[in-house]
Order: sequence, then C-alpha cells, then structure tokens
Amino acid sequence: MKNYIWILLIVLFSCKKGSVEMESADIGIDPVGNINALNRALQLKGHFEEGTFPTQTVGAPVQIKLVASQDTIEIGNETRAFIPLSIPDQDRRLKLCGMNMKVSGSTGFWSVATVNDSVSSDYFVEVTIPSLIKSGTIRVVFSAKLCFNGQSIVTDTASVVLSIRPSLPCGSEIKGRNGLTIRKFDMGEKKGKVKIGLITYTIGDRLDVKYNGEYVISTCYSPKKGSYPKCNSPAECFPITAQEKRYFYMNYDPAISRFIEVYVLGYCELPDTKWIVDVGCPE
Amino acid sequence: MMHQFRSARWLAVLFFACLIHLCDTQSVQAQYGKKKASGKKKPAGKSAPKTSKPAAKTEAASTPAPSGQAMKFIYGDVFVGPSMNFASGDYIDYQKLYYGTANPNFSITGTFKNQTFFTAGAQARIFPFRKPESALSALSFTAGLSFLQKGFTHDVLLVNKSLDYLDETRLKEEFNASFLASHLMVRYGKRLYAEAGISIDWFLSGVRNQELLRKSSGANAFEGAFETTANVDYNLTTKTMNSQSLSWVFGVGYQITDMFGVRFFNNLNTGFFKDSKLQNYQPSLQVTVSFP
Repeated sequence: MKNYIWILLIVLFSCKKGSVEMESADIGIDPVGNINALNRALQLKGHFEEGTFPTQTVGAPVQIKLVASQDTIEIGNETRAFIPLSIPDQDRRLKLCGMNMKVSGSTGFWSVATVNDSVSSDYFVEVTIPSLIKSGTIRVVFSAKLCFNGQSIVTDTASVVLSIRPSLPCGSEIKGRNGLTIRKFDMGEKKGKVKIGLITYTIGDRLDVKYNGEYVISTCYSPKKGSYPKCNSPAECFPITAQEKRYFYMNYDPAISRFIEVYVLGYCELPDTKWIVDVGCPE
Repeated sequence: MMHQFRSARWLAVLFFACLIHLCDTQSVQAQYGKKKASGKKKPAGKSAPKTSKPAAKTEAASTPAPSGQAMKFIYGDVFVGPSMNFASGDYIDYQKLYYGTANPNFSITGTFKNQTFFTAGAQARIFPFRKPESALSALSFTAGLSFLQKGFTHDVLLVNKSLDYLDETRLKEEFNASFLASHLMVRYGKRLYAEAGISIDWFLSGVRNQELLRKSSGANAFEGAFETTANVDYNLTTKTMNSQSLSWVFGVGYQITDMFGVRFFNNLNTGFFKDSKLQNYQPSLQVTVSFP
C-alpha cells in the first residue's frame, strides 16, 4: 500500500514546465513569446532559409545603403502591407538580384520577391499578416543583394516597425500621424452605402479604400489593382481639410466581401502631420 | 500562483500521509485482532462457530461483514487508469471563428482533437451504517484525491492561394494541464455500485506547446521548395487558468474480488480557463485496489 502511494506522490510532483508564460488562451502566435514562429508565418512570396541573415560585408569595396521609405506601418490582420525600400546611391550597373527579410530577434530569414516601381525606383515587399498572428509590434529588417558581372554585394540593413492591429467594426475611428496605416474594417451584414470621413488638419494626408481587391475610394487618382499609394504621389493626393471633415462614399454588399481595407499615408515630407478617419456602417 | 500550487501539493501530502497512517493503524489493529482472536479461540477449540471463518474470508474489503458482525468503519482505495479528455464549449466555437477568413487569398481550416491521459489517486470510504443487514449498509461516503490531466490539441492549416505554387502554414497547439482533484462522493452498492459527487480540481501546472510548420512546394516555388519549423512551450499559469474549479464526478463500478475492482469514472468541468468557457468531459476506465 505504501509503495502505491509513494508512486502517486512522485507522479504528482513531476509536472512538466514550459519556458515562456502564456498571456492569453486564444489561438495564435504571440509577437513576444514566439518570434521564430511569427517570422515563419508571414505570408509572402519567398524562400525561407535557416542560416544567418546576410548583412553588409565588413570592408566591402562598395558601401551601399538600403533605406526604408516608411519607418512605421500600422497593419491589420489579413491586410497586405507593401513595404517600400529604396537604394539612393545605387550604381546603375548594379542590379537588384535579391532582397532578404527577417523579423528582428528571430532565427532564419526570407529571401523575398520584390516589386519594382519604375517611376520612383522604389522596391516594394508585399507582406500579409495572417489572422494567426496576434496583435503586437515587431521590427522587420531588410538587406538587399546587388549583382554585377557575377559578383554580389549585400547592402546595409534597413528596418521598419510593423504594428499589428486587429480588425475593427464599422462605426470605428482611427487616428494617426506620419507613416502608413492599413486597417481592416468588418462592415457587418447590412448592404448599403458607407460614409467615410477624413480630417487631415493643416498638413495633407492621403486616403485610399480597398474593397474586394479594388481601390474604390482615393484622395488621389485610384491606384490600379496591385499598385500602392506612394510618397511620391502628386501634392493634390494629400488634401488639406483643416477642421472640416471631408466625406467619401462607397457601396457595400456583404455578399461580395465583408471587409474593407483603409490605407492612410501620412504626408511624407513633414513629420508633424496628423489625421482622423472614421468609417460609418452601411445605411 | 505559487502559493496556490504549494497549498494544493500540501493538501495532497497531508491526505496521503493520513491515508498511510490509517492503513498502518488498521493493519496493526488487524494483526492485534488476529492475535487476540487466536488467543481467545484456541482454548475454545471446536466450539467456535465454523460458518464465521469462510464468511470473514469472502466478505472483506468492500462488502459488509456478515450478519451480527459490525462492518469496518473506514476503507481505503487506490485507483489508476487511462482517461480521455473531450473539450467543447464557447472557447472552441470562438477559436473556430478564425477559420472564417474573408480574404480570398487564404483558406483556413482547423480541427480540435481529444487527448488521452491517465489518472490515479486514492480515497477513503466511510460506512456510517455498519449493520450488514441494513439496506443502508451499502451506502458509503468517499473523500479522495486524484491526479488528472486535461487538455486538447488544435490544428490549424492556412493555405496561401495567391501564389502559383503550394504554400502551407500549419499551426499545432497542444494544451496539457495537470490537476489535483479532491472529491467528495456518495456511493451506493456492494459488488456493483454507483457513485456521484463533486470535486474541486486544483490547477498544478500546465504547458501549451505551439508548433509551426511552414512549407512550400511545386515547380514554381520561389527559389525552390522549403520546409521550416518553430516550436515553443508556454507555461500555463493562473493568469489564464482557474486556480481551482468545481467538477461534477460520477461513475459506476464493479468489485471483482475483495481487493480488486473496475470502475467507469467521469469528471465534468467547465472551469479550465479563467476568461473563456471551455468544458472538459473526462471519462476514465480505472482499476481499483481496496484495502480494509
């Protein structure tokens, strides 16, 4: 009898323990607790490699800078962020032959596909944050690989802070300053006309609204499918509203898609811009 | 949390110490009783009634003593067996909302799987009505402690359909928590019995294992196919888990011999998480060993 009881006591006292404390019982990858999984869960066109992140070689013959055109991007789950990068002093003979990307603090890195903007010579990396990733802030680091005559040079690194935010219900308001904000709104079950208000105060900011893969509202000419609101857009794309709210309208049908994506680009040249966007419910 | 953990463990230690003490006391008493009986019976020789001896052999641990003899007041049982945890409730339904993506570029599917564990414990049974001829003699009250585990596995598969090659992200999450259950039950029956009562399940510790598998394949895979994994263990703590929760316990059993029996035991609990309603139904098939 005594033996059985001691066996039970040993079992009772030999409990397994993890290494990180869990904050919430909800499904998903925590940006703090599981950064390695988060790095691997980003949705993009790329190839994942387990090795060390390629950075500029010390003593390289050419020092080339990579610049992130946006320092911070606020992004909602399941929205696609286009991260603009540029190489200001690129020698024309050097061609971009690869872009590397990783979430700061994680292991492994992505070799990612880039989209080249012929007008601005910016490179865009498209990243979608899946709903499996929880809200939080991450820093994404980039380096570019330039090729010429069979040689390759890795640039200095550039980084962007991604602030991952949950989707919002219609009737919500978002506020921001400089940088790019991409938020997803759940418009509910009711079909109807949606009213979207914008205040940009004394420094203009750009607003675009995407619905079912198409831009349906824009303060500028509507970007074509697959293109992006950019800093080098004409000045009229960044309207100044002062204290007056400027309204935009769109038709909404839940049978087509239940969500809209709101893109707000804070004025790129001046650091003190601020704006408010409110998204009404369908009426 | 640590305080909670310690108190549950001390409760276990105290209970098992009492049980060891009881068993020791009873075995000493039994030996003393035997000696006493043999000392008394030997001189009496054949005059002692023969029927009492076989009766004493068969009517032992969990069955009352024969007519005229008072039953023992307390019995001890230990039990062990496999269990299966069935998780359900609002928490599960809420997690399934993640699958309903409105993004046409993704498809998300998921499944919840039940987990198999084992449970073990000990209990003391008290017979307040000790006259074997009384119908109430089959009634006993049970207090005990057991070790049990609860948990489930959640498997989510996300497929990126916007690419011209196969790109899959699989997230597997396994919840596994250990509890010390202190139960109080009413039991009725001799060989065949039924029992029901309540249990307070004290959370001891737990782990949530999260494993991500990402892979791409196909002729068009960007710079070739790849497969990568990431794995992390999270501690489950009283931040998210209830430190103690009430369960309903019920079961039926059969005493095969005086010492060994089997029982089908069930634990129904809705207090796994602190903020989300997760119901765990845990049936277990146990072997019981009884000690007078």
